[in-house]
Amino acid sequence: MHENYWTRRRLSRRDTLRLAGIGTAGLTGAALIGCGEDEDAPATNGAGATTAPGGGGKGGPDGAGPAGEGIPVVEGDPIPGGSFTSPATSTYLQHDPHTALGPNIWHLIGEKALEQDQRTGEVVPSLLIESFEVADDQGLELIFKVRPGIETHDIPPFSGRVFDAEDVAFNMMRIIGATAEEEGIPVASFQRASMLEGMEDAEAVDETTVRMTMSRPNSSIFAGLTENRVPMMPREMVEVGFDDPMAMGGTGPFKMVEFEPGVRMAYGRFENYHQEGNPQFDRYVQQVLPDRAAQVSAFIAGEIDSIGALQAHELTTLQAARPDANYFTWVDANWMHFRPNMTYEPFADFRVRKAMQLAIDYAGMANGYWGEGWAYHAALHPNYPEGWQSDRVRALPGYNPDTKEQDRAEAVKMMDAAGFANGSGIDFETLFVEAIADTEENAIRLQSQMGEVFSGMVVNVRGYPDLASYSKPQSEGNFRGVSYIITATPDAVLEAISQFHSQGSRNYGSFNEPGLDDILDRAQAELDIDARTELLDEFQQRFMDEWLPLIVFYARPYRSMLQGRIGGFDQTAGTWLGYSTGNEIGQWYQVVE
Amino acid sequence: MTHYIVRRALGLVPTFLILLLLVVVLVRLIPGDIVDILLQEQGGGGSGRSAELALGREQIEARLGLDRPVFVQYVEYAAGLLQGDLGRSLWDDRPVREMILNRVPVTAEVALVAIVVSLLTAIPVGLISAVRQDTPIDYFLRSALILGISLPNFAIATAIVIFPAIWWGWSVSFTYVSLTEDPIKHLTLIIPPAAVLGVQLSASVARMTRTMMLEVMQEDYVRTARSKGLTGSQVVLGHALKNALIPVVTLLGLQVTFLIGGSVITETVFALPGLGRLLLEAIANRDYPVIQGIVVSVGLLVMITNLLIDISYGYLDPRIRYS
Amino acid sequence: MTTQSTAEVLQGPAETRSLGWRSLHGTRRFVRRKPLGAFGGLILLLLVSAALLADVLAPYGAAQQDTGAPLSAPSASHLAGTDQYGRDIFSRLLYGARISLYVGIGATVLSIVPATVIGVASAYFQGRFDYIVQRVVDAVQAVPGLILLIAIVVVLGPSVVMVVASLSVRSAVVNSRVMRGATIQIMGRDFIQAARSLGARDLRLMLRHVLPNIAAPIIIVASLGFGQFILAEASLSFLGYGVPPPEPSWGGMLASDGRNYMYAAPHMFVGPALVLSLVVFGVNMFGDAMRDVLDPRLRGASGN
Repeated sequence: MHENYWTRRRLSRRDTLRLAGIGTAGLTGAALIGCGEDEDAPATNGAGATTAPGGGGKGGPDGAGPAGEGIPVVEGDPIPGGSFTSPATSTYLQHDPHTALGPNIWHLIGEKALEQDQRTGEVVPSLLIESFEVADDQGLELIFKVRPGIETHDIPPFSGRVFDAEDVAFNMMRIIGATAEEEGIPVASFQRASMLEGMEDAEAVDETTVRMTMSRPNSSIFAGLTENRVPMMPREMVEVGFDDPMAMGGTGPFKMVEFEPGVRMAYGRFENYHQEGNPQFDRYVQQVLPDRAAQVSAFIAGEIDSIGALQAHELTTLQAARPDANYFTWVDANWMHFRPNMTYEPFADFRVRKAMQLAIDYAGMANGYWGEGWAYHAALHPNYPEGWQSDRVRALPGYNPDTKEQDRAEAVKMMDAAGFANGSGIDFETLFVEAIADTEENAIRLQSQMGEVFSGMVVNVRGYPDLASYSKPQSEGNFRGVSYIITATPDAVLEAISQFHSQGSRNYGSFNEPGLDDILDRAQAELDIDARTELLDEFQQRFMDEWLPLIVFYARPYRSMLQGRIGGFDQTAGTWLGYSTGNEIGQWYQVVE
Repeated sequence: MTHYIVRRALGLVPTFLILLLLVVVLVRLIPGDIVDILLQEQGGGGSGRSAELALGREQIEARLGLDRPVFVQYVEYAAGLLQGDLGRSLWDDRPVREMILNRVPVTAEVALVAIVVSLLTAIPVGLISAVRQDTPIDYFLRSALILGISLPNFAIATAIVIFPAIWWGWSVSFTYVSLTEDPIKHLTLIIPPAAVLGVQLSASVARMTRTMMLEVMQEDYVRTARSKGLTGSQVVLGHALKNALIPVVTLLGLQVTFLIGGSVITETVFALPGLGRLLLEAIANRDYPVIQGIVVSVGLLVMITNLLIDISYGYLDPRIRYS
Repeated sequence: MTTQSTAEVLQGPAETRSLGWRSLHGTRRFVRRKPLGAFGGLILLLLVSAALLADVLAPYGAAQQDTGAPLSAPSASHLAGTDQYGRDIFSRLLYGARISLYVGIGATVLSIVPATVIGVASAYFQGRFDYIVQRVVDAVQAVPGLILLIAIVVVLGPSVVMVVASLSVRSAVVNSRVMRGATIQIMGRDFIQAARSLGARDLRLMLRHVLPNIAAPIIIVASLGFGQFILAEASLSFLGYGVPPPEPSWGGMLASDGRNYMYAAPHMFVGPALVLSLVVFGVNMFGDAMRDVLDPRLRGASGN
């Protein structure tokens, strides 16, 4: 077969993607050893490296850049059984895997067609699909091979029957909304139709083969199938309906055993799970703990086994209170930014945006909130194989902490040249969501920094209490600037189109640049990996030099802790956990009773 | 008397209709609706292009029944209520009535225990405070109680949750079990939030007790009793307290709104699956039928409580005459 | 939130009397007889001074960030420490006094004035008008305060002004009942009948004769409301619907950052908690003393 985008892509990812994951040890730090359960673990990185307490090597003194290469795995033989409890802020409200806005029970009871390797970001066959390929040179026919003999949960009407190619084809069609009319669901409700842009049809050729036909080539399509909101389900599910979680079942490692709204969601081990030996836990529980203080207390008291999204001070406290727990951190898929609105005249001038980009002290901003472990981020997230890496971005004007003074002087000059001496004449309000602390932290720090550099600039901040009230002005473009956080899609082109393309669904600031549209359209159709990467490289360069539709602050570190008794979770140390479904828990186990 | 009761009960009808209108309109004035949330996410992950979003809004609104005039929605809602139908959640399509009934017991239990806590602390305090008016004891007791309500309850609740864990590695439990599963464990979950609310409640109950005691002790019959040579404590406990407590008990009935408002906070911090938290989540999710259902049900409960208080007041206090 | 509805503490209006206690003699007597109330008054005075003099007293601006010293404990340069942005908490508390005062006074005025207008008018005109108004009051009263507050705040949008407006709406409606009760009692008095028979117009009668006679309940309701509003703002902040950041409202400082850093940087919690509770305590003590003094039926209860 012709060497195309995907065959090359694997190698590419493996080579370029670096890890920021690091763990401090359990009791003494010596507990972290050995390689993971996952045989696919690339030998190149230090999956087996022992890491010292406090983390291994790291980037510069500003804390940016990838930390060590180690992915800690807790030592100890698996003890089958037991339970694992994680905190949730509420029970899920939506149970249709393809129309749900966010995480849902299908992350545990279902599986996706394809996965991204949690370390490398590589698109790999999943437990459902054993291989995938492009069958023609134009990229218009794709073939998926379904792993034979996968059993569904023993719940009627599918009652343990084998999950086959027809199911996969059905799911693909449903993801793009092809069944919307028949089911009486608005087509707009199919949240992730755009993941499979260009797909025309999917059909089962035989029991284990699915053929997908495209109306035009889409270089992002396999990555699209790894998005965490496109799990696969037995096709009878549409008749069962999506109101009662207890009546639902898929092929995942866990079955739903309890769904008590506002209290907990509990899952039991699926005995006939197709992956030998897994899951290890008899029971997985998502315990509702809406308040952060309660989560911290419950973790200290051992009532829950994991806690995520830790802030720096929480980490210090928890490490002191639970020295036996294990700590993990990596740069996750979330990136924080300031989005200027082009309809506000000063922001329509590239020089104004560029001056702001030069003036911002990114390291000061990120270190102030996170301490170390974050990554510099320019046009594309550094975890994309095509994205400029943290080190490279760090060397650019504006981002480089070592040239901050010069860059700020340059910024003042540029602002002058644009006709806004010292920023006077510029007056904007940065909107943020109070419910999302990160957006507030950055808005307030940006306000202070702009005041330092541009004495004449009027910068205010405005908090919106919840997502619904914030979403309205944002989606209506009714703002001058917003400080917000976005979770990157699994593919660089998908992401760039949604954010910066004039037709992009998240182009809230009405950015419109034909040159940018053109380059992204070409990248989407480009199947040759080198040509595609080149296009994206050009895109990133011109993003900084000519376009700058928004200013990214940094990519955020994700930090979590798990109780010392839990093992086998090397999967967490990856870059794209956002795109894994929760069923990794199916591979975790307890090491101590 | 009967005439009075009937008239008061009939008065509930217009009040209820006004409440209903208030709720239906207010809820829809909230900026940003469920469609904004749905579409925000859709724009979000998706790569995609924005052309279909406007169309999406119309379709989703139509499916959720939000495209019709507010007045029509009001009338339909009122009609549904007559049959005991509170509608269904916009998110998971569960019947709102069932959602509310599931959450009521927890909130009610916390409220009841809070009332017990408040009575046990407040009545002795109010009594002593009144008998020893303007003495150091009075000052001390009142100061202590007012200090108890001077800190917002979320601050006290959070401290109860977090500090034992930090200091001693121990925490109140958050793993909810129902009363039928394990009554003892269940009670241990109910007591901390009930104590937080109870202490706050006791401040106003004690204040009321003190005020009423002071007033009653000025009444003629107490003076008479005193002049007959009854001792201080006989007068206080035998005559004054009994009469002073009537308004105190009715005050407790009026605290239903406070207890339910407070439950929003305590149920969030202590992770209890009650009505308050259901409401808070519904507001954040803009789940109109759920918000309406809760406010209307609570409102109805409050109105009926008030009616019962009025009526019982008449029986308990012979001085009250209805005109 | 304070649970006390003023309707319950006020059993009726004060009789016609001059507000003579305001005089120096009255003040001295008040201090001697109501030391706690006087202490509360002193705290209120401090609050007002802090708010007025914040610009002079505050060593730093409310939004000024000392990025080199985030989360520092109280010291000579930062009396109450700094927050995670390196903002001086002492300065923010001083500026926050303004917001508290603004919220307290703003909501009090915005609730008392409409409450009085509605209450007096309702009692004065009686009949169908009164009936309809009272049903509305019943309806509003039946909705738990915090719930109504959240709803209104979310509707009006986030800002100090809107929080004040939201706080006052329910209070205005509920307190109008107190004013109505007081007015009804006054209406029965001889001097009102006399003024009426002399041909006094409605408006004049209400302003000249009714209003001065319900001054006591107005003052009591106002003094009790003040503390409730400050606390209610804090509760709203906890739920995410209070005065939005970066305004240094005490409630916001306590509920978001203070609570978040409660155990890791306790000074961020202790500062706002202390001033907030001190002010609420002061207001309540002052209000209690005022009620004792102004409510004639309680006068002399201590034996004179």
